Amino acid sequence: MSTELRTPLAWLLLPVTGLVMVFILAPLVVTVAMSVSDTPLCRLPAARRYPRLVR
Amino acid sequence: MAAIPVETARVSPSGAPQARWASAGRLAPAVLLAPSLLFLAVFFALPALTLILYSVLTQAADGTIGLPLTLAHYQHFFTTSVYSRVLLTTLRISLWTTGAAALLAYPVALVMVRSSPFVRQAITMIVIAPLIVSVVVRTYGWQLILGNGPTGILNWLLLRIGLAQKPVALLYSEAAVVIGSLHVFFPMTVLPVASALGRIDPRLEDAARTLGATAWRSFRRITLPLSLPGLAVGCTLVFSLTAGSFVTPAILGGTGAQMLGMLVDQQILVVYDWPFGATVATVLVAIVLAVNIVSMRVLDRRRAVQAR
Repeated sequence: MSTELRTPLAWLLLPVTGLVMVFILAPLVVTVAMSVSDTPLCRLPAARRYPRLVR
Repeated sequence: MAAIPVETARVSPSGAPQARWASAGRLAPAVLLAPSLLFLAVFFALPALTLILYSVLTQAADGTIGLPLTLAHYQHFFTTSVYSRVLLTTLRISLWTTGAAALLAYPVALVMVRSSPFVRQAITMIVIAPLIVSVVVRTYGWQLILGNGPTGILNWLLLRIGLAQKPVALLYSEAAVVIGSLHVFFPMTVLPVASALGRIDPRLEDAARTLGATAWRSFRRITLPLSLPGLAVGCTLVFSLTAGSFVTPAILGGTGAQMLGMLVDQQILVVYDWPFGATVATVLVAIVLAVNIVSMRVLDRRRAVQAR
């Protein structure tokens, strides 16, 4: 490992990289999750607060 | 084996075989380049020239396209506020995407290059993962995440953790297109930057640190300048690809963020105005070409300065 990643400033790069990894994987994971979901629509618990929007 | 005839040719008094070999040597590059030049001529230059030609032809009332040549379509494009707005939206979205890609790709590339082999491989796999999934599938994934109602995953999260009191309108906006485009074209920035960072001799940074430079100073004076060509290539790629994208703005932008690619599709397949569609496409190609030329010039100048 280079010296750059050992400095305190360099450690800031790791959370940024982690967030970017989540950003990249998010739509892929969601698509796979939807493919194994038993509901025809993406329905999450908060939808109960807006009954008219839910079919 | 080829040396014998050449030696023979050198001693021949007339000099004719030597000249023949020399001319064959001169022809060899042209012969080797011919297939790729032919391919480019047929599959790139010909369609591009046809497109430009169509943009200056006139469409009659019955739909036939022909003479006289006119620049009226260009005048119509640049003087109609709707089309100028689409052009500005395209440039704005492309610039935002490019800026965000540059800002986010650099730390990722730095960690990728400077980490242990296991972390490097994991990051590389994740970064290139979107490339093996269809852009349509990825964009539909974003549609589920950015959904405007409370059923949208991001809205659900924001409501759950109390960051928003009511669902936020994210889908069908420029922000949604920027997010989608950033996701689609992110590897195009990370990979050139990582390649440029990987080519930097680590001894240069070690020397700077030995001479008393702080980590930040050594990054600012050595790592960043030497990796700029990779960043420039990545930014040019992302800008060019975003400006010409169609699927992402069509699915995530809708009518809220219309881009030039959508306008071309609309003019050619819905309105059947081929000359105007060709005009819009030519403007798009001209913008992308201009950005590429400027980027290449800047890189060449930089290389010339470094070589001195």
